[in-house]
Amino acid sequence: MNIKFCYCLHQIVVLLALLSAPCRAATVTFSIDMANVLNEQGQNIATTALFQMVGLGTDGIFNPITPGSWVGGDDVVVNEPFSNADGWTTASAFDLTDGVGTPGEFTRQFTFTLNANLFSGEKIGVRWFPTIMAANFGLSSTVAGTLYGQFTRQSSPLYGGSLWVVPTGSSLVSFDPMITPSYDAGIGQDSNATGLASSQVVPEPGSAALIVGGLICSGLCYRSRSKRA
Amino acid sequence: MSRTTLIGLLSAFNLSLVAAQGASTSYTPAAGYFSLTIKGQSDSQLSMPLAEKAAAFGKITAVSQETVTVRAKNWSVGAFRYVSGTQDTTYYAEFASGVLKGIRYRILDNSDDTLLLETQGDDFTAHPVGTVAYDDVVRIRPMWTIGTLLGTTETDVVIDPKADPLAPGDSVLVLDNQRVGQNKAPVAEIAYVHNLGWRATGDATTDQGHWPFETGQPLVVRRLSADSVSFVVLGHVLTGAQSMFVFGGNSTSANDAYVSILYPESITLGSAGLYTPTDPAGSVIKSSRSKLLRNDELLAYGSRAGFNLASERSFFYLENVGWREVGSAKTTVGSDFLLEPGKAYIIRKKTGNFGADWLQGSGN
Repeated sequence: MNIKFCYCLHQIVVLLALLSAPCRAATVTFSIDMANVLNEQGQNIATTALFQMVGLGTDGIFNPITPGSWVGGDDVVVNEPFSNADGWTTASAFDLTDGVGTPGEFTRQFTFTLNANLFSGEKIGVRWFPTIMAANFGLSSTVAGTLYGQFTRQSSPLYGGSLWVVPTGSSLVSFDPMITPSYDAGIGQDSNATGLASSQVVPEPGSAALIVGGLICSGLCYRSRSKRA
Repeated sequence: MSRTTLIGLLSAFNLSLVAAQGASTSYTPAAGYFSLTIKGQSDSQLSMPLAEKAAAFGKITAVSQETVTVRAKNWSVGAFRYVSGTQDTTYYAEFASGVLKGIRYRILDNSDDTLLLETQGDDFTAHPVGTVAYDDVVRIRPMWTIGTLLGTTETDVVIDPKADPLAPGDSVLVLDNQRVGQNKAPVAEIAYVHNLGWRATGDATTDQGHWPFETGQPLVVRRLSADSVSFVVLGHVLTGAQSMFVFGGNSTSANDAYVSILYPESITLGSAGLYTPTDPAGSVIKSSRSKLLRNDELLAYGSRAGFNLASERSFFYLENVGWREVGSAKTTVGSDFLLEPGKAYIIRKKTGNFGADWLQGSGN
């Protein structure tokens, strides 16, 4: 047997042993850095505004939010406890108060225990809702027209960081940041518009068609009734 | 005092015995014991802030690229050369005075008065730190091994022996300080196997009880049982400035270097010697221009229990500002955060930031 093969075999055996032995779940840590994060008017977002971490599902992209929910398509809200210094404890939501506490500046580091909801290889992103306070998350819901911004990096890192994918257990990674020239013209390569909350919740096409169809039907009924009268 | 704290000194600390005439001074090396705790059902990242007792010393009379010759010695040829099964102790040479004081190299072989050292590219005739002087002192110490740290027999081994090589059980994970990369898998997993001794996963025949650890090289001990276990290691306190080489990234990859404090005493991040404002280029941690786009970082583990744990806190030096922690607005981490003895840390060197000597205790 050649030495290279033996070495590879040994490494595989070690790896298998390491993977199989522990029954208690591993942890991962990742840091997320984004600035400037803006509201719909291009102003730095308030530190109390709602942020969410979103699992992007098998398609690996953000799907539009539908009214009454926080995600759309196969996306899921990462439902993990986030540490918050401002006195409330809600999974699924957080704000910038626990970061550097500066409006528009998102720099946070999270440690999670891997589980079925947050697993290695899962693509994730961050959404922000400038008109909803994180503290009111449990009492709020989205409606048509609710504004939000979103960011992920699933290809071509600009700054040498990692793609936004949950790493394997025991890893600490820094996700490739979003840095706009408005934050630091010397290094920012993302356009200023990247940080803008420029999306809004819209009804699904099917729902929209039903609504429009319903309106047309109502209109026609009203017209025919008027004619008969 | 708990696992990361020196709980006592066995002999007098820096005890000086001054001769009656005052003509000469001799020293009893500072020795002590250090208590470490292995958490139950968890991985514990540990390090040993004491050194093994010196086996020999000598005054240097000559050097070549990789050798050091000392005066009036008559060592047995090969006495400090590791030979598996014959001479199972790995030794290193530690410069105890002169400009290289605190720098260590593994001994590859020796003649009656000359040591051949693993210099990893350093050249004693043109050393980057300075010139080795006549009469500089070099000390020879055994390296820690799995056996000397955790026990050599079934009755004194600290972790639970495995019933057989294939059974799950407690083990030691040897961290990888040789290859370049981030979040590296351990290079070996070694367990104490019933009736066999220390064995690596995948190799039930080779005795690994002599697996050596560099001074300050961290290790991870994995314990499956629920109860924690503490143990005490006897050793000598390193005094004066000590150097630890922090492996850097290369031109294509960043590197995680596993490091620790070499003294049994906590030190603040700001005074640990990781960043020198007057010598940014020579600093171990290269400063960051932006808190969002960080250069080198110090990573620290948290206190939670579990297996395959990620480090949880990251520190960086913000250019012209000072030490900062990722995700924190605190401006006092340089004086608040303590590097503790007995713990393991990671220095993440970014791509293109090459290795550097971390000089610890230069104020001692």
